[in-house]
Amino acid sequence: MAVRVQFENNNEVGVFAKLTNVYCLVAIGGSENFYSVFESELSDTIPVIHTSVAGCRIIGRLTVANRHGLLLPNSTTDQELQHIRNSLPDSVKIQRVEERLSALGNVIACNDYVALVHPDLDKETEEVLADTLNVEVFRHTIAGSVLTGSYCAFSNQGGIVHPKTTVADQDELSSLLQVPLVAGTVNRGSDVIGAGLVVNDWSAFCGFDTTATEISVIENVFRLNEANQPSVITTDMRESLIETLT
Amino acid sequence: MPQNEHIELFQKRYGFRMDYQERQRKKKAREHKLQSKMAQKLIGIKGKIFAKKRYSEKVQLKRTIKAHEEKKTRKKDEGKVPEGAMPAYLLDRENTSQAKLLSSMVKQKRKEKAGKWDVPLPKVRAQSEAEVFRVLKTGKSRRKGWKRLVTKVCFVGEGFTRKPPKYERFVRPMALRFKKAHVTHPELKATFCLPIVGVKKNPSSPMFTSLGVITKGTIIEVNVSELGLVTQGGKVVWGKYAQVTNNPENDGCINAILLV
Amino acid sequence: MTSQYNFKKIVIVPTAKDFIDIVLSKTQRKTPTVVHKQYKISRIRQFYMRKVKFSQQTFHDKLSTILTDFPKLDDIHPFYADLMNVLYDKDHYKLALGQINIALHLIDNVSKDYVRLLKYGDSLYRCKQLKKAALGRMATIMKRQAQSLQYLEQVRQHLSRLPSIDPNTRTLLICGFPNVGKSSFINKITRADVEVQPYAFTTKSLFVGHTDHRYLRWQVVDTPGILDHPLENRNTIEMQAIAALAHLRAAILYVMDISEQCGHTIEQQVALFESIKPLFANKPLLVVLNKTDVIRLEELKPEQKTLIQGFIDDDIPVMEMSTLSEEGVMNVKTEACERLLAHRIEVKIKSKKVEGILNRLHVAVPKPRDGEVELEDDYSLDLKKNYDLPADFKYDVIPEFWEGKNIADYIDPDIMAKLEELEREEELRIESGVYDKEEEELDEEEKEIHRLAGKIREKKAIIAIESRIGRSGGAPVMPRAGRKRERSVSRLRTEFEELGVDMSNKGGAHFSRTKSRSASRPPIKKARSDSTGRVSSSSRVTPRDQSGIRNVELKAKAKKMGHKAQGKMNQFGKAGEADRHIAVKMPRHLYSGKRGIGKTDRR
Repeated sequence: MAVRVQFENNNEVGVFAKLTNVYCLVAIGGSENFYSVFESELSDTIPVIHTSVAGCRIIGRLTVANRHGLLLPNSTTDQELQHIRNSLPDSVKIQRVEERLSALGNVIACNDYVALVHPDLDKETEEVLADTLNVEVFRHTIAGSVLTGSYCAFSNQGGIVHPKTTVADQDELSSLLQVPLVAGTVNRGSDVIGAGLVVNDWSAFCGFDTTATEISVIENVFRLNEANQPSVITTDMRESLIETLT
Repeated sequence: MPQNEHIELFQKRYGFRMDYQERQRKKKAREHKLQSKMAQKLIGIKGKIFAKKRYSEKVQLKRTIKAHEEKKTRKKDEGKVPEGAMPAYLLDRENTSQAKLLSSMVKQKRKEKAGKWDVPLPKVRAQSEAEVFRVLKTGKSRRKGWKRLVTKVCFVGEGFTRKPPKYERFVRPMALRFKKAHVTHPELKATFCLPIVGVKKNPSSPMFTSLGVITKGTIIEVNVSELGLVTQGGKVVWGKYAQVTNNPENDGCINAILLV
Repeated sequence: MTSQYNFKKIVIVPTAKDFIDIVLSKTQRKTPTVVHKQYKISRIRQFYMRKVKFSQQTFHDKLSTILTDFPKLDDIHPFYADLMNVLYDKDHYKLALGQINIALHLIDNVSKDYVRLLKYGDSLYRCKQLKKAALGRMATIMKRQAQSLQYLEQVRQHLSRLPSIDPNTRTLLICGFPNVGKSSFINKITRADVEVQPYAFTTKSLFVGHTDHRYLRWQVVDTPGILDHPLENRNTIEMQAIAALAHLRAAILYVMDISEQCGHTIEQQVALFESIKPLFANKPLLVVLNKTDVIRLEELKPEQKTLIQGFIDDDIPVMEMSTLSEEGVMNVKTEACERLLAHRIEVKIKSKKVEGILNRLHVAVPKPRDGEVELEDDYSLDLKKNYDLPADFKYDVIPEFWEGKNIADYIDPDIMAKLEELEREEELRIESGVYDKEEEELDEEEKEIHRLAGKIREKKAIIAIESRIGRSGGAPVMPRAGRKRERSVSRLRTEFEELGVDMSNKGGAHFSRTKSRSASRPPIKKARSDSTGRVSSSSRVTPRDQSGIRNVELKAKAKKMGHKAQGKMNQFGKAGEADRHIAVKMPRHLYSGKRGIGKTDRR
């Protein structure tokens, strides 16, 4: 199920949370509503952890994570690092990286197997990334934009990319990532997918403004229900999509 | 009931409060208190406006009461027919009494013969030259003072071109030139906006007349062809005299009474 | 999209009286209020001109907001234009707005005229009278607009309560005779909450509701019932329905009551359908038979059935439903939505719009990557591929020729075998220790020679290195002048004397210091000093603090007095002698321009 949430009246939930298959990080905010939505959805299966990174709430944009590990920017304080280390299971490797592009979440998008990174990312960071997260790293752009982490979101099941991505680009990305991809939007037409959506293999959280059509695209491409298949988008949903988009 | 009329919908569904009518009645009963409070408290222009409003309301009230009473009380029909009354079927007949017409003609003739105008405003304050003209200083060092600016409303004939500055003694500014006047016909009790033909006479000075200065009491000639007046002979009258009754320079318009 | 047809934002139109009050009080509040007759006449004129202009501007603003706020019938969607014509009478509406526009221009003209007159006002009294007249005339003009303003206010109130129908979105339009169950149907599928009563013309205006289907929002419009008579005879209520039917590109649901409880027979209902059929052109159409809980389609009389059959023959789908038992209601909705969607998609695909979003309709399915990484696959140019030869000859080996001879002929066929033979032999030799050399014995003399040679080589190497260091190999070379003096006459002399050479009498050998040959060399002066021991030639000038002082005591006294005199000055931080400065070196007035009459320092 895809769930609509809001972080203190802000729809960009991907900025304030990070979700993987074995843990979930949530920003420390003024109100606990945001946290409790995540907790009620996930806390039976995986730990949901309050944290800040470098004293900021925008943890989703600063970190990059998957089942194997967690990369934090250099600005993370020692206390925060210790807090995260204490809260996460031992199987998760945690690494702080020194990188000029310190908003790691904006420049790296990954699932448990592959990562798409900003073409200008440091060689060292790339190595750290490959080692910590156990992923194959590809330097790529999405719809001509270098901020791969901002303009796409993908899990091991599927992915959504920037709405202006061409069909050829989608095919290429899909064969790189080995997951079905679709070009789409969240939050009533917002193209910053990574900011509007957090997703793992069985759940997704998107902003409050997300329309029913967008939600159903998300559910289908990420296979959040048993019945959903990405191919539904081209068959059953085709008319609804044409109707809403034109 | 149409959509979106939420208040009506609510009233229809849930009605009024139990004491709604009572409250309304009491509120109305209290109203005069507020009125009197206002009447006592308001001062200045607001007070005047309020008093005038109140007065007109009261007059209206009294009138209606009177009308009602008249309706109620039975009056004896005296059965007397007033003088000159006519049955309805004769009303639109043409019947001007010849005698009356003749007498009015005689009167008119006599008037013309006398050559005197019996004007509505027989006496007006004389306008001094100092009042009408302002001295314009000329010359390189502004020492010469032969030029005059007319500060009253003027009529300037059509096709007038100003003289070269050197020879122009009297300047009549564009803003003060008027072409139309509001002329009241005293018998018709109606006012028309008529084009001015010329200034017949300014009582203050013959010079003002020649300059076309229009002040209170000035006799102007207006084009009455719009009115469709007809002379005794059946010709359409187009020029008639009228006397100015206001101070045009203060009011920004010319009001006049037609001389008949 | 909907904002264009949201008439809720029109500002209130005040009555003429209020209008005048608002403007005059605003003028009073926002312009200066105090003026006196002794003020300069230009100031008085300006004071009153401002009042006149301000009132005119306020009138102008308020009237032009009315003109812009109210929708122009020619600009809005024809549906709304038609609806407004039906509800408010187009002519009346246009006339009212036209009147307002005329009033606006009249007020502007009045203000213009009076401002011109005010320019020639020569007293406070006259200016004030003119202002009064101007404001009065503006107020009169507004008073004449009372009717228009009142009408416009009523229109505004009604307009703001109109259901906000978006004429361009997906719409289901329900129509039919009065009392056939249109409102019950909309109540079933939306939350519109339309009043339902068992008499005709319960619904007197358009109602709008929204429903969901296929992730999309659908607008459902309920219309008042229509009777079957010519267009001219229709009343306002029916005309609203006709306006909606004519201008909304919607799916039409023609609701029929087959139980005939509404008071109209099936024949009449079919006749109405036929008469308003032109309004259904190019729109998805559905005939809905309502009230099947009373009577079913099969139970109808045969002649009635044939009427219904007529629809089916015309390819118009007929569906049954009962709003009472809710049987078939959802089917009707679904069918209508599907038909409208299909229709809209068809239209959209014909237009170019869809091309822009084709990428959104594509799901990229991953192709399996072959192997893990197959990056460098060397490409070799296959020249033989395109030979014009039978396929089995193409890749035959071509012999290589050199100087007319086949190289293959000169190759010993068993050269490899021979090589192997040799290698084996060599191996055996190594094993047997043929190459194991023992240390040779050297005799004493040879050892000495070796040692010496070694030393010589070492020395040579050192010299080479030293010379390389010494030479300017990039290292900076010190100039001669800076270096320590290596040679001098005196050193030469002492060295020679040490060696035993008699240097005493070598005058002609240039061992002595050379004498300058310059004739201009000044003679050495004898230093003359004054009584205080200073060399008098060094400075002829006595310091200023000593000049005119006779002796040392006097000097000390003078100094003391100086100190004392300065004490006060220092105490107050005043500028003393030492603080003298020139403020401007070359004052402009003294150095520029030609010199005319006047003094040098005062020009």
